[in-house]
Amino acid sequence: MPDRQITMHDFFGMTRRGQKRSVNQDQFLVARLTRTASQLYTSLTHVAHPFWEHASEAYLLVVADGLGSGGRPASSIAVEVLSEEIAAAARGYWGLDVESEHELLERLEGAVRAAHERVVARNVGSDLLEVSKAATTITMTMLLWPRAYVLHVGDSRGYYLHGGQLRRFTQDQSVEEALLDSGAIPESEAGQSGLSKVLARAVGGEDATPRVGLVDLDEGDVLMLCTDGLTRCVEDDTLRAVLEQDISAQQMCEQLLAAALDADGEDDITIIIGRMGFIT
Amino acid sequence: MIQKKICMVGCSGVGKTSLVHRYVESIFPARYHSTVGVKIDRKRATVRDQDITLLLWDLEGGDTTVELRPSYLRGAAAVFYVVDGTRPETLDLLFELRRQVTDAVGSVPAIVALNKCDRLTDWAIGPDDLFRLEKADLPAFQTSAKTGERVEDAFHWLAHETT
Repeated sequence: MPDRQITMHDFFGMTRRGQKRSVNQDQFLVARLTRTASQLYTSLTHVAHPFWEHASEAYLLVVADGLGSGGRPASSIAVEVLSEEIAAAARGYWGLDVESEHELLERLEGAVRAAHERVVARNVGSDLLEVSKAATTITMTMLLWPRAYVLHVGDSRGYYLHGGQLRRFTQDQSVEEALLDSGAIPESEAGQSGLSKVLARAVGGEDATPRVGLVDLDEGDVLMLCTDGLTRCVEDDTLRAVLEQDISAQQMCEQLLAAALDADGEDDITIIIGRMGFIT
Repeated sequence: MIQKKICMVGCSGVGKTSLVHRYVESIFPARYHSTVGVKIDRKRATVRDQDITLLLWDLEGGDTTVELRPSYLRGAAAVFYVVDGTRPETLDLLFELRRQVTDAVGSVPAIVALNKCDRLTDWAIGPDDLFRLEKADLPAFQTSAKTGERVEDAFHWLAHETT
């Protein structure tokens, strides 16, 4: 047994243009936000578990799937704005009490609003054709171990593998899902309306209100964010089988990308995977 | 503005998410989606002439065994328990849930919604059950997320208790 164990996370992200697309409209970001606390002097002869090493780290994970011919700038703008806003918002939120936790959530929502406003600003006042206007999905997680805060707009997805079970913590915000939820179309007609790819909510669209939630993770869990380019052609059983393996996050991403490409992979594919809290 | 965290607690499928949807958005989803982790919604309310924001933490429910994550309960100002009035076993499990809540956050204001009261023919909560709730000092409302019956009243009553 080593004399010092450290809980680490292993992240990887990748994106690939769809086989029937000329431009990749997806974007992603994996960022580590740190507030450094380094041990300079101590009378202790041995510090086995410096508590600050992980209390002072947060991770920001974002996937964005641009829509229509204005999709690439929309997803770019959204991810850039989110990274700027959240880097500023994260300051001072390393040890969360209840009030500051809700303040953090409000600021994360504010970051999504800022991204939306910036994308809308690109559309307004321009001579762009309606079809060229920008919009994008956003699925975002801020991890302050062990808590993963989730904000979600559109139909990109978030999952985590826990105890061998694959669990999805986002719901697609498509027009078809909204009609099914309202009872306007019966469950038996799911997938037949032609509206499963039409979004009810999108950053840059008419309604960009994010769904907000959180999940507390355990060591050994595997977190995954992805765009629908993956989930429209790879079944949940395959996702689970890949995430269950004892391999790196990069290898998981590569295997899932290969599975998507094998299964046609016509849409852009973006995947972020984080292996949570394995011990070195 | 004052913020109050209220945790929605109950077994899977009792209607926690539907009650929040009804209260916050005035809608009733026709389909069931199980909650993973916690969903968070906000609702402004006026209590004793004071504007407050209710932060509704909708906690994932378990099927037959119930084990709450104490970390989700941390800082709760009140707990909104939900029971499916057509499944009396969800009331039996409520008492175990309450024990876990008390262990995590101590004694905080609480209410029990006996939900799905629109389903009269399936209703399975009797006087003995109501007596158990009374004995446990748990105020109860009969609610229907589907029709909206007593939903607003239940949330408002609990909000009142937190201030």
